[in-house]
Amino acid sequence: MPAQRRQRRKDSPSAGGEGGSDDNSVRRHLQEIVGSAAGVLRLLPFAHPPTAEDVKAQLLGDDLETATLSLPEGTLAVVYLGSLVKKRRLWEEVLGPLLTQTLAVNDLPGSQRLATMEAVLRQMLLGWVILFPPGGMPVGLPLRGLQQRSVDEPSTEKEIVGPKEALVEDLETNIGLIRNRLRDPALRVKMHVVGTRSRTRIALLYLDGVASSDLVAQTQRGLPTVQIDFVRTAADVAEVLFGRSLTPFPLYEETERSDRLAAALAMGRIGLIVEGSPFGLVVPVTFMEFQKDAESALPGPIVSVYVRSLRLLGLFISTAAPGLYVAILTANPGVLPLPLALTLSTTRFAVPYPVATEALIMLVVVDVLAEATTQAPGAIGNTLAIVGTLIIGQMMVQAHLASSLLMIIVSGSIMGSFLTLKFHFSYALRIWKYAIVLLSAFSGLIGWFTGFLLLLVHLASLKSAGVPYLSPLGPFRPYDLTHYGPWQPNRGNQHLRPAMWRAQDLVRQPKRGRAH
Amino acid sequence: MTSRFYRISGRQLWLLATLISICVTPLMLPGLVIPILGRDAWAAGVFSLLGGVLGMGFSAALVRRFPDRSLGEVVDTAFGPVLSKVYLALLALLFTVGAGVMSHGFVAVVAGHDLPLLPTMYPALLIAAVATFAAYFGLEVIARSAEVLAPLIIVGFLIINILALSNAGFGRLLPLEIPWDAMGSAPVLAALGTARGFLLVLLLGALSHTLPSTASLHVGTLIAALLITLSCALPIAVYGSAFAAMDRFPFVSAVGTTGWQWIPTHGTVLLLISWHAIVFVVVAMYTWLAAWLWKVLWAGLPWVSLVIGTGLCGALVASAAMSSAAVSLLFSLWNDAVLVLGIAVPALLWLRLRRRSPRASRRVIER
Repeated sequence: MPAQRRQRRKDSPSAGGEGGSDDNSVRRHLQEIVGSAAGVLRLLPFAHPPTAEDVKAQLLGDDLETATLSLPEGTLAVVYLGSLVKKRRLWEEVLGPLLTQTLAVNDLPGSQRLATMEAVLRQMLLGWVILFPPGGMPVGLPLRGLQQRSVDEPSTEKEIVGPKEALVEDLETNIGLIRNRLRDPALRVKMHVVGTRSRTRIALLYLDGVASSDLVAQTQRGLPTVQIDFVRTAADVAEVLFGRSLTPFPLYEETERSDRLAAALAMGRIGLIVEGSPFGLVVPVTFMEFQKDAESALPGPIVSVYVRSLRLLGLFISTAAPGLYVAILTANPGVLPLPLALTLSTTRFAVPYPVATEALIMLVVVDVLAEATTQAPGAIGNTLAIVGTLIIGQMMVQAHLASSLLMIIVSGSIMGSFLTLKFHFSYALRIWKYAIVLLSAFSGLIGWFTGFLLLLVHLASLKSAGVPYLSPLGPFRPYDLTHYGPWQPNRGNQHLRPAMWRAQDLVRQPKRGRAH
Repeated sequence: MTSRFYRISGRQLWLLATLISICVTPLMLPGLVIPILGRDAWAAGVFSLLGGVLGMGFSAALVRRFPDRSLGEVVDTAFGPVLSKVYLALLALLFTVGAGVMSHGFVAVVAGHDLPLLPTMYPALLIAAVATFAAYFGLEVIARSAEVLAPLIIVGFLIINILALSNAGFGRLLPLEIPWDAMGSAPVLAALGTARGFLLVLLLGALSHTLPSTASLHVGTLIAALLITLSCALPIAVYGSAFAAMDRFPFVSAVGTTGWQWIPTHGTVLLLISWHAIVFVVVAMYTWLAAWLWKVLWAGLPWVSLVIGTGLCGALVASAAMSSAAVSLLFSLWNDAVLVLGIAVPALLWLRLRRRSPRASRRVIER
C-alpha cells in the first residue's frame, strides 16, 4: 500500500520537476489539509496577495460594485459594496484624482495596505473601497457613507430641565458625544469587533486610573473571546462577559442619555457602546442606581425628598398593594378595624370567586393592556388605553367580575411600576407582584411578608460585574449611601467616589467643591 | 465550597450575633422567667448582661488565640479527631433542630395570639423554604439581607415598645429587690438570651477569620440584655406578676393591649412583622450553619442536597403538631444544649489549650 501511494505520487503531474510546480504542490498539499483555496490564501498571505477576482468570488451580492481604470502602469481594479460607500466621495476623492493622475494610489489620503483576504473582506464590510493596483498589494480607503439618524432627544429617559441629547446608532457619533462631555485625556476608548457573522464594532469606554483595573482587564480579556454570531445590543455581549443570572432584574444599566453615560464613567464605572444601537451600557449597577436621577435633586432637597418619596411609594404600591389586599381579605381581616373591614368586604360581596382568583385575573388583564399600550404605535396605544380603562374596567365592575376597590388597587399598582426610571426594572416589579399575591393567598400577612423576604434574598444574591446588587444597603456603606441622598449630585460633601464601584482613585473633587 | 460562602465582615458578624441573641428571646423567655422570678423578672436582663460580657469576651478570646484555625481544628487539637467529629455532629444537630424550634416558636405566637389564620404548618413551611433559599446562597447573602432588615427590626421594635409603655404601670415592679431565692436558676435562664451569640461568634469568627472589636461585641450583649429586661418587666408592669405568670407569651400579650386609631388595631402586627424578619435571619443562619457543619463532616455530599436536607428537617420540627407545653419544653431543652455546647465545651477547650501556643497546636494538627 505505501508503495502504491509512492507510485501514484510519482505519476501525478504536480509531482514532476516542472518550473513553479513546487508552489503548486505545496498549495495542493495545503488544500488537502485545509479544504479550500481561501484557507491556503489565509495561510500564505504574502505569497499570493488577494485579487479583485478573489473578492468577487467571496462576496456574491448584487450590491458588489466593481470598476476598472486604465492607468499608465496597467489596469486598476476598484471593488466596493455600493450599499455602504458614499459614491460621490469615491468619484471626487479617489477616482477623479487617479484618472487625472494628480495622485498615485499610495498617495491617497487615509489609504491603508491590506495584506490578507480576511483584512480586505473585513474592511469592505465596514464600507471601505478596495483598490487593486497592477502587481501590488490591495489598498483600502474608508469611504463609508451610510445614512445616519441625527442626534435627537431621549425617548425613554426624558428629563424636563436636563440635557436633550441621546445616543444614536453611529458608533463614532456616540463616542464623540461622550468625549464632548468628558474632556479628560484619561478617557480610553478600546475598539473590538464582536459577532462571528455580524462583525459588530463595540467600544469599551473607561477613565484610566479611575475605573477598577480588575473590571477593565476582565472586560478587555473577555471581549475577544465572545463567540456569538449576531450582536444587536451591548446587553448581548455583557451577558457573555459578566455572566447571566436567572433574574427579572436588569444587571446592567442601559441608557440612551450621553450625560448619564459620561457621569457613570466619571464615577469609575465602565461603558460599552455597540455600533447600531442607540443605547449604551454601564456596569456595574445596583438596585439603588435604578432609583436615582439627576433631575429630582436640582430644585433642592425639599422637592427632591418629595419626588423621591413619591417614587419609592410607587415602587411599594406596585409590588405590595395587590398582595396586601389578598392577604387581608383572605386570611387576616382582623387586623383592620371593624368598620373598615366591613366596607372592604361589601365592595366584593357579589364577586363569585375567591379574592386571590379575582386579583390574579385583574392583574393579568391590566398587564396585557399595559403591554399592548406600550407596544402599539401612538394613536392605537391611546385608543387601547381608553378601551382598557373605560370599557373593560367599568364593565368588569358592573358585571361583578371584579370589585371596584381591586380596580383602584390594580390601577395604582401598574401606575406605580411606571414611576421607576428604567423600563426593564418595572418589568421585574410587575413579575414579582404575582409571587407576592400567590404567597399572600397561601398564608395571609405572613405569606405577604415572606414574599418580600424572598425578594430580598434574591436581590442579595445578585451581583453586577462583581458588585453586590444591594450595595450600599447590603453590604452597608454609609458614605456610599449619601450619593443617593436628596441633595444635588455634585455637592462638595460628596468629594469621594462610592467605594462600591471599586474605583482606583476614590477622590472626586476637593472636599468643599472648591480649591483652598 | 469556596470562601464566598463564609466571607463576611466583622460588622456583619456583629449584626448577626446580636440579632441571634435577641431573636425569639422576648417572645419566649418571659414565659419561662416570670413564673420563677415573679415581680423581679427584670433581673434576668442583669444576669444575662453579666453572663454575656463574660461569655462573649471568652468566645472572642478563644477565636483570637487561634486566628488561622477553624473550630474543628481547635477541638481536634484539644480532644482528638473522634471527639472533634462528635462535637461537630452535635453542633450540626443542634442547629438543625434550632432552625425548627425558632420558626415554631414564632409561628406558635402568631397562630396563638394575633393572626388565627391557616394551620400552623403553612407559615412554618414558608419560613423554612425562604431560609433554605437564603442558606443555599451562603453566609454572605444572609448577612446582606440582615443588614437591609436591621433598620426595619429596630424601628418596628422601638415603635411597639414606646406604644406599649403607655399602658404600663411601673408601680407594679416596686419595690425592687434582689431575688436571692431564685439565684440558682435565674442566671441559667438569663444566659439563654445571649448564649447563642457566643456560639455564633465562636463558629463564624473561626470560619471567616474576622471578628468585630470586643467592645462592640459587648454592646451587642448590652442590647440583648436591655431587651430581656424590657420584655420581662413590661408584662408585669401591664398586668401584674401574678397574671403575667399564667401567660405563655406575656410580652406579646402586653404589646397586644396597645393600638392606634385604626392603623393595625393590634400593635402585635407591627411586632410580628419585625420579628418575622429577625426569625427569618436566624433560621437562615442556623440552616446554613447546620449544612456547613454537615459539609465538614461529609465533604463528598453536594451543598444543595445538604441545605435542602437541613431545611426539610427544620421544617419538620417546626410544623410538627406540638402542644404549647411541648414547645416551651423543646425551647428550654434546646437552650440547655446551647449552654453545654456553646459555653461548657469551649470553656473546657480553653482550659486545655490555655498553655499551648498556637504554633505548637498547629504542629499537632499537621502531624
